Amino acid sequence: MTFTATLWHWLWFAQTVGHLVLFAVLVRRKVYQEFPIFVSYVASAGVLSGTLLILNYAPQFTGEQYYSAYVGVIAVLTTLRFGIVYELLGHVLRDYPALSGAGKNLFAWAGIVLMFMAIGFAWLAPAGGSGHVMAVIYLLNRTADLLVCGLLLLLFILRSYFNLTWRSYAFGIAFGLGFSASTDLASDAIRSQIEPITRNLNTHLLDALTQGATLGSILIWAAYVLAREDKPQIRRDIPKHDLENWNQELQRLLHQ
Amino acid sequence: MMIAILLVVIAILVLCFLFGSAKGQALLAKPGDDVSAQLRYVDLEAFRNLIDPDEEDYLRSRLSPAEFRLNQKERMRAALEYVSCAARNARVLLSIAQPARLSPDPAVAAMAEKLIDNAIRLRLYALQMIPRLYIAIWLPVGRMSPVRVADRYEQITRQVILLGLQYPTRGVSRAL
Repeated sequence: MTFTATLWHWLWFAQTVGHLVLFAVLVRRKVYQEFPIFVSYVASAGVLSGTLLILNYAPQFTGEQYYSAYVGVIAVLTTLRFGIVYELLGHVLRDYPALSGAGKNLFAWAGIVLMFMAIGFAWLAPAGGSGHVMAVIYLLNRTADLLVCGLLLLLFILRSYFNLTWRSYAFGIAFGLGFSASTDLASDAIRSQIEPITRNLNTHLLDALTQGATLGSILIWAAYVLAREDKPQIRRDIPKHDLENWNQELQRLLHQ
Repeated sequence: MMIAILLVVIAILVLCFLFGSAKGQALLAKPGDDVSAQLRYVDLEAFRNLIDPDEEDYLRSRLSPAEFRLNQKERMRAALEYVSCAARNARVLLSIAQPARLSPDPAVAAMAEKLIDNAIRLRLYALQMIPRLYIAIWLPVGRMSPVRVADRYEQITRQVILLGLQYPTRGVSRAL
């Protein structure tokens, strides 16, 4: 086995263990109460990645069985990724009711536009390479990644434009998901065009990249979950009768 | 392959944006911070006069069509400046109101909540108005009256004053 092949296999093991450890931390910190879909995603990613590892290494399973399971895993995790974006949006809109109507409309329209864009890209650059079946899977992944990246980007732009505060967990979840989804988008965009029948250095490198990014996103999530939530500090020593301030403000009110 | 390269570039841009966002979390003012320097003065009376439909009708009746179009362009430019300033001030006020929302005093928290609500609505209106004003500058045909921005701005000015009675807004209301 070449170095790159060994590297991505080790990263695969590491991210599987990482997801399971992170799931334990999330349960311990009761993050599931606020972000149930995100916690489900972490748990599913750990368990399903472990299942794929078993299917990959156990001799009684065939390659076909592995790839069938792989497609199922991708479908479940992609659905949950959209769920996380929905969950994050729900948190933002719940904290800022004034944004509720406009925010929902904006995301609905952005979803439609992104869907057309992704379909357009799929039509302009269909699956290529000799490994056609896998290339088609990467093409579908690419389409989903583009949607997730676009929606997350919109969420970040919304936050920036309105100067909204996110609690650390929400920001960390969005950041980690964006990191992983954008790396997957780059990797899937390349693989959908060049996927060969048998694995080569390129596929090993791209697998190492995506597994590394997944591990990176786990570390980002862990860092945000383990860090103390930085709630804005409120000064408690505000004088109750700041007469000068009252006077100035009342004068201003009278002049309105 | 061009599409693949384009998507890789998009992915890299998204990554850069995410890292940029992670570096600069939301701009929040602590109770001691002086944010009044970031505010721009908005003369509400002049703004209301500028967007008054009666004033527009008067000018239309007095000026030749060519003169009116030129005048209207200038008025829309000025209105654009006012809306941009009001939107910018609303963003600064959001940075004051968000920590105030977590105040242990329910009156302060409620006032801050209202201020956040109105500041967000003002920025939403501004988001809709700014492109329309740009169009109105280039095609001064239809009537453009950002009255809601002015109304909302007046409301948030009052709310900042009221918030300033119970929470250290450090002269922000005077700067508005």
